[in-house]
Amino acid sequence: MSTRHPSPGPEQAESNRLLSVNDLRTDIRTDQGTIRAVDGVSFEVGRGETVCLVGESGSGKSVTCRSLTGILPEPPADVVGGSVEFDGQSLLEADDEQLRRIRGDRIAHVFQSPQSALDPVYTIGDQLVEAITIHNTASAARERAINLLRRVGIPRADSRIDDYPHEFSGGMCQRAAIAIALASDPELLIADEPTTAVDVTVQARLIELLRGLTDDGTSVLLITHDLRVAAALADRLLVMYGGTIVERGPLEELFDRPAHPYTQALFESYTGCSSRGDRTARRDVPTAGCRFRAECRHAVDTCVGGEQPPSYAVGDRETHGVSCVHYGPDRDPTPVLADAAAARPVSTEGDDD
Amino acid sequence: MSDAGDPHRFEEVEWDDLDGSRQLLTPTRAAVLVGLVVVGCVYALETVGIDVTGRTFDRLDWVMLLGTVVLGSVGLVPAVRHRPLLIRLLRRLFARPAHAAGAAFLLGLSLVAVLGSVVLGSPDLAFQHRFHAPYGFTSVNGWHAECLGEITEGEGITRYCDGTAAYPLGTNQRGHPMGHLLVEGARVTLTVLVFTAAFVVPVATVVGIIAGFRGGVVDDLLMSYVDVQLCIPAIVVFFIGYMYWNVSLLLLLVTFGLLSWGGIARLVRSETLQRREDGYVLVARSLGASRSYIAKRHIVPNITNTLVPAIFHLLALLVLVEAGVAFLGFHHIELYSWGSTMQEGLDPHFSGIGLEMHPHEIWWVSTFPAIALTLTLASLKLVGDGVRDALDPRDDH
Amino acid sequence: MTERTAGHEEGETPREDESALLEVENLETHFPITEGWLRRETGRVRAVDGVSFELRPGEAFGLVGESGSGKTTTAHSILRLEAATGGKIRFDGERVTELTGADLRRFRRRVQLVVQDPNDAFNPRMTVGEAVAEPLALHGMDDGDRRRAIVADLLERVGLEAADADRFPHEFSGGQKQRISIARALVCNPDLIVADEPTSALDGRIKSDILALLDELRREFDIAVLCISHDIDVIRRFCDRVGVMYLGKLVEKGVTSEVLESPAHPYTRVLLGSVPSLDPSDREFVRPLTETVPDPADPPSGCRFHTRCPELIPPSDVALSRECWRTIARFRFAVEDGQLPESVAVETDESSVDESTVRVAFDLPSTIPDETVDRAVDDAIRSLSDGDLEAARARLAEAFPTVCERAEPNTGDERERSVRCHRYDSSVEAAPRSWMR
Repeated sequence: MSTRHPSPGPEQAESNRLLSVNDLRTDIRTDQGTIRAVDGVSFEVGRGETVCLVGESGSGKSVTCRSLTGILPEPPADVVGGSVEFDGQSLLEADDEQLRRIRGDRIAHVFQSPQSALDPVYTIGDQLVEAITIHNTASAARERAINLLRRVGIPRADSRIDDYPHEFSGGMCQRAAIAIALASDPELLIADEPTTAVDVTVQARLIELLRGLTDDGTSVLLITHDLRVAAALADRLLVMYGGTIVERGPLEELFDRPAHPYTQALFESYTGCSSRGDRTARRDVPTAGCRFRAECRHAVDTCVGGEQPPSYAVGDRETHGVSCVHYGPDRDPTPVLADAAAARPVSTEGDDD
Repeated sequence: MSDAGDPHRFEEVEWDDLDGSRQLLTPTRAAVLVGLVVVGCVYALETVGIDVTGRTFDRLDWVMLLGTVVLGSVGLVPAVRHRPLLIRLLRRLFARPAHAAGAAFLLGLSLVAVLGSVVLGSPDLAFQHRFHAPYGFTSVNGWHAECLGEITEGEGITRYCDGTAAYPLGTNQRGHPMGHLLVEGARVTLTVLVFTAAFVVPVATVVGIIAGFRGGVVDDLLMSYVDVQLCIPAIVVFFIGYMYWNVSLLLLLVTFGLLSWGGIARLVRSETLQRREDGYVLVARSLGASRSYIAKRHIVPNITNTLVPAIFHLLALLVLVEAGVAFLGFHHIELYSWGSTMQEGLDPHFSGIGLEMHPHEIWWVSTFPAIALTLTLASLKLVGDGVRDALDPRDDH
Repeated sequence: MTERTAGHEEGETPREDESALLEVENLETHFPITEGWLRRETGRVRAVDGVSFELRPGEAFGLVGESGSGKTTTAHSILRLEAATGGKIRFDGERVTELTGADLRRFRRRVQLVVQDPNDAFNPRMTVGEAVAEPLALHGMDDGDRRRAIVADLLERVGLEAADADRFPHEFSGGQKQRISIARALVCNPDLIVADEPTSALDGRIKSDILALLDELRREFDIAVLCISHDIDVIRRFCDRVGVMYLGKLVEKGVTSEVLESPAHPYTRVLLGSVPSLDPSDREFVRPLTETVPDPADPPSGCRFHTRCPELIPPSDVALSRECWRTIARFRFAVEDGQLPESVAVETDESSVDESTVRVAFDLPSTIPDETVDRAVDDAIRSLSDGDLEAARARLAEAFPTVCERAEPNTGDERERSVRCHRYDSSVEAAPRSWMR
């Protein structure tokens, strides 16, 4: 077990660690069988840190984050193993009541679709005040609600607080949803693709808003499929594929030297280095061994069988880990790393600013 | 610009040769036409006094004939043309025992209703045999002039008449065999079902689709009409008709049937509004598909999830309404509806024959039609769900 | 296609470029806003308002813009899914809006649509084979075996298997569905595919694969593609030329690499500058002057972007630093729009807001070098502090007449590059182009 789950990511000083997830496993049971949506995921989030979980749809990143605070509907989902510790408290062992208190008070969620996160029959203000009064008995809830709306950059907050969600644009709804999430001054904000449904100019403002949060000391666990959003927000990156984390490391490090063949492929899809229109449309992700081997151009026999390879350090950087056999003790990662140079976005990035 | 030899083009299609081959006369339309012509001819001959059918047709019978033509051509002709689809549908429908049982019951009911009235004709009065108990049960001897079974001694001076195989389900106060009455009731029920399916459901669906598809003023007008219609209590209209005209099943069907489709029309409209924005409708429109094509191919098949159960619910509702109105006694005296039979069984004094008895002593008169009615309603519900599931390819078992 | 006919109506001026496949000229699509039973028209949403571009055979043209910019409506108007209210659309020389009968059917075959969301692109009750064959059946091919053969061939070309024809759409993933969608668009052997956000529902490598497939097929079969997207990466990778739309207007168009590498229109610069960079050290965004997108039913006069334009042209007699002018312009349009910061928000009963608060809120300097400007700003601030928003609005509008507000920029319609911005109009006295970089 110890080789399979090395210490996740860069070491956090014990006191600075807010969330630590260890070997989390979540199954989703369907009529067709059980899907191992999250298959041994370990990571940590420090205070005031933005950790970004990057992956394509179906990689298990959303299920991972929803498993943390018990908001996954069970059944069909079932957290079958691992541990989640939030500020010293185990979340998987907490009962519903404790979880509810933590969710409202200390961990907040923001989801992709802002319109569906807001109840259309109540005004923004009602929903905000509700979120505030659940955890505070303050009579000045409305005042606080207005302040929250101001904080997320909604102009004329004192009059717009009485609007209904349909009177808000998509970007404004997302801001309001963030305001509701911030109502209880959470220590951790889990944002699941918060900018996917909005226009780029609005996205830019939301990114600035989220950046401001971490400056205030809130930790953010951001889920996104967009490396651009990750580049703009994250301190550290976790790359997910097939329910496992295949690469992890500080943002600059990972963007400078994407080490895992999957991460490289992800970067290439931006830079357009490889156009594979002929690639077969059907893919089956293996359930054992390296999950990416079916599509990996560096796949070797060692990739088959067992668990996802352990996280090896890339070069001499202990903080940058990659779950690929080529980085193992007796192997030479040079051919894989050679691709990193080609996939690296920083050098090939066109001038689009 | 490109030629057939170009290896990069898939296959050269000479569209001009294919163009314009859209036919006006589809098999369905042909069937409707032929059916209408045949019914029209028979009607014309009958009215001038030439008897071709060997029996007299009342207005309801003509309406039923038309309904059969509609159902046959719109339902059966496409079903026969797309046999594989029909077979798949039936296989899926009969895959679940409950759905299969419901479907079998409804099929049996239809067969009994059609064949029964042909074979049995109208039930005969046999007052001397009234209140015979079903086979294996007994009734008080003396209710009927003539006991066909064995007479057994009971407590004191009471004597009981055993039920016999001559009347396996017993008889009512007029000596009508219960089995025969159930068949008659089935015929009434089938009439209600055919009328609703042939006239009410198409009106509801078409109005809903037109309102949803056209939008604008058409939508406003149609939906306003539906709103008005939903406000008119059908039973009041029925009683007004009852006061002025002869009471008939047709009156009941017309008033209740034609005032009850508003809900389905609204449902279809809202579903249509959702579907018409879908990508495949957009693609079909960009290909130049007509509105009726889109409605037929894309809208209707995709609203079956809500439409089919709603239709079967309406069918069940109208069957129940008919039974209820007959139960209250507002039915044609020669129609032996399950509702009126039940009522006779529950209120033996009503028939005015001066016998002292309690409804439970002649339980078979009310129980059998009640069971038949319940089974019919349950079957309609089950088949509605079954057909909905069978139509949905996403629901693989 | 042997059936093509070339002529166009008599009396029309001959087109400059005979080889254009699709020409869109001053396209306007307005939607009436109606009220009441009689559907009296009370206004119009100018969804597309004077858009011109052209596509050569085999060319990929991208339309980029944010939601509400009118790019989808443009596509729908070309396909005749929405009725254009003005302008001309010519396809292969023929006026699209005037096609009828067999000509219209031919047009419908030659131009195909790929819709945005692969999940609702298919009728869930039809097998994939039926869906892909639908265009054939709709256009009169009654021979089922022939249809099946064509579909099987196409499915293989887009990376699926012939046997997939008998499966239902829900059995496929999003990427696979989009491949099927492309197969359906190809089945009639089109000359133009209109792809409305073909990859916006996909992510990562799937998106990249679909783009590559579309690109490959386009080159192989020489199909022109009108690609609508809000995603700069898609445009960059896929399109030869690009047009940038804002509020129903095409503000800039040109060769993709040129437009994306040296954007000329201020809106294009804002749009591109809002896309996060893949370089983690570059985290700055370009901001528009104000955040509110105007209502397309009541678009700003002149240049539609002027209320948000960081490069708004000052009146010729105003000589201020760029920063200072920008601050004042932001103040002006914030007042115009009523989007006042909280500290300045005009309460109805308790009126007076401190004048210095206003200055702080808008970052306005206490004195402005230009005297007339200074006076106007002073007046406006005074009106504001008295709670008279309307007066402040009028005072500012009167003091700063800008050409951007007065006149619609029109810099001609060169095919290679055109920018609808007064900054590029030699007849407008504005700082020369060097303001850009």
